Amino acid sequence: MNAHEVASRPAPSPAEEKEFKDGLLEAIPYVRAFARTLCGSKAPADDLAQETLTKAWAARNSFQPGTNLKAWLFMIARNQFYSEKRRSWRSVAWDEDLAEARLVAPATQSFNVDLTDLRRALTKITPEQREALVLVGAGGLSYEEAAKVCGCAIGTVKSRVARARQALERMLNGADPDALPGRHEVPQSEDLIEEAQRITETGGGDPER
Amino acid sequence: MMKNGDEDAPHQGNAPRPRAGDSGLRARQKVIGMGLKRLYDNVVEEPVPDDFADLLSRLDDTSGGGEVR
Repeated sequence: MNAHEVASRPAPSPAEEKEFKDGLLEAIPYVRAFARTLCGSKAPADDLAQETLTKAWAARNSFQPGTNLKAWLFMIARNQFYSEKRRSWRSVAWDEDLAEARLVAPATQSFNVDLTDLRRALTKITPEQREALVLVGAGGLSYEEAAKVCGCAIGTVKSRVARARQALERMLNGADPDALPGRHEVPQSEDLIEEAQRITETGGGDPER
Repeated sequence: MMKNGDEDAPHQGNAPRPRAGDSGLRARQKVIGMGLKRLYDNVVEEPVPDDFADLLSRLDDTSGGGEVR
């Protein structure tokens, strides 16, 4: 996506434009979901998703047909998110009102995960790990595609995903009980929201820590 | 809450393979992976707000060819 590539590609035909737009339409739910991971809550995430679509349309000549449109859109969303400094590093990684404590495990499993616990655990890992894990583990991107989205090496993505998985497993398996404060108490969503707001207001943490 | 009932005995019940802690770990990571996918899919499956359709229909008016910044 450098200037030369853009200049060298002929303008897309109307049919290609339509195809691109259809692709955008199909990708909207995924862009929203990834934006939710970045922003933490619905309204800012949808703003980011809309900006992403607008940017993608404006830059449609630089999209390489045949490559993963979803991954390309995630990259735009991510760049946009970080360039706008909309940092909400430790805010909730999905709205509390979503995914109400539903169990996810076949009956044969001896280990169950409460989604509220999982959502909370996701806020405790680093943003880099969370993003890598979501792209690969939920978004269905290959390590290579995720590396492109995050602007890092494939090996870096692999190690972030592995570390994220280990950390979540430790927290959710009770090996690190302090990691999930309030787990055994009433839901702490208000506290989390307050904390998130406080962090947002004070400018948040350092992303590169 | 709704976790494995006895945290001291994660391998109880019908854990897939008896090959020590490793298979239990893998099974737990698999369940966590499913939970992650569920959280993500919950958002994917949300109805898309009307603003998005409005936005896409407005995109026709803009001229293309810009570059991602």
